[in-house]
Amino acid sequence: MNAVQSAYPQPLATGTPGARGGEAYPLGRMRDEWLRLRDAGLLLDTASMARFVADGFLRFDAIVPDELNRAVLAGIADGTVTGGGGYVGEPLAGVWDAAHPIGRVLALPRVRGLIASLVGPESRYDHHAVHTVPARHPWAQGWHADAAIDRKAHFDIQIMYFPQETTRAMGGTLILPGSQFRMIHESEAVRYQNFRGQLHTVCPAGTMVVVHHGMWHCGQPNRTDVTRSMFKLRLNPTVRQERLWDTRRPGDGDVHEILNRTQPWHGSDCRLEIINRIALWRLVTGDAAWDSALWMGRIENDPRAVISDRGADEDAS
Amino acid sequence: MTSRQQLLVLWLTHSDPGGEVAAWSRYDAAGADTGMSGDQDAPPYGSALAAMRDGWRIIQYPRALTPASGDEFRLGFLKHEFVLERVVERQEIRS
Repeated sequence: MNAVQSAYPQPLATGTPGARGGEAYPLGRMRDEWLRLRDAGLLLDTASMARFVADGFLRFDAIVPDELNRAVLAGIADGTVTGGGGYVGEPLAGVWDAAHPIGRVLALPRVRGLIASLVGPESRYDHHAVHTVPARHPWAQGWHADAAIDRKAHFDIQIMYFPQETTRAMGGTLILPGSQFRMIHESEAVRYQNFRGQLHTVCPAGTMVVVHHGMWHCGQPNRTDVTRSMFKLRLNPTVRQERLWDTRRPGDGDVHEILNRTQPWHGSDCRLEIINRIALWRLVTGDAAWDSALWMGRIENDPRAVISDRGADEDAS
Repeated sequence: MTSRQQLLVLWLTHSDPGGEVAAWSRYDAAGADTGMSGDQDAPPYGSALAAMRDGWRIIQYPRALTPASGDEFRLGFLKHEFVLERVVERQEIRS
């Protein structure tokens, strides 16, 4: 490893989370499920994966049908969908039974496909929370990244599921596209109030916004008479996050163009952002030499051949 | 007549005060114009220099720091943080 490589976040030494990894997440079963999802066309395409690496999020409008959205909202109201839980690291598959509204959401084929594409077909449940903002709640949450500062190259995802139509006035979660590589500890970002390029979640019912664990975000005021709820679910990978999407599907967009498209708030750091994206793209493609516009290649260029007198002398000896 | 301070914090896209605003915050001890996350879609000024022309005084000019060895590619807080102040009478803000 050279000096440049050592500056990037490095993968953890242990690839499978949890002491029970081998028993809880059998590789053969996971591969069979992944192949089923791929053959059914349910995995993400390459351009979508590149957009996740570049922007730190993907959005899936109305991916959950209305009947199920209503069941989830009813569950939140009557307590069937609990306000939070987790933090022990059990397999996601055993957390909600098939008949539970959240179990039904997670069983939706497209939802299974996006989860499998990002963190594997049998991910680990980290925690969930129902964020409810009462009607006429006047205050915004400060900008933050969840959990603690986290430099690992492998990423968790957080699914933000909006079971009701969310207007700007209702204050859907505000995210900062392209912030996933910004290493901060939790609420240290509250000193910022606004960014050029910040993105309010305004979406139809049943939308999921899936973010990298490093994404900066904050809840927003609710200026309506309607209570707003968002179900958040954090998932950890249980397999190496290498080529988990459908690499046979190129999708709409060129990977190089996507990874070189920076955010308006990046400013003079934009090239460092691209370098971090390339490092992550190398991880998810398994191609340690992948590069774009020679951003990494020129930094890593470390010629060793000597053709001057000393080199010639050594050849002759 | 009581004077109070207003602060405007601008994070610019580069280290020159004329650089574009990338992020901003505002704090108002004279009135009610203290901001919160997501409350504005556009910055109040295009640059720190534009704010200076409108009467704001720079009280922090960011230092340019060479990253520590091994940290050259690590990203974190925004770098070019200009803090500006304006001292105004309280009733001016309330009127």
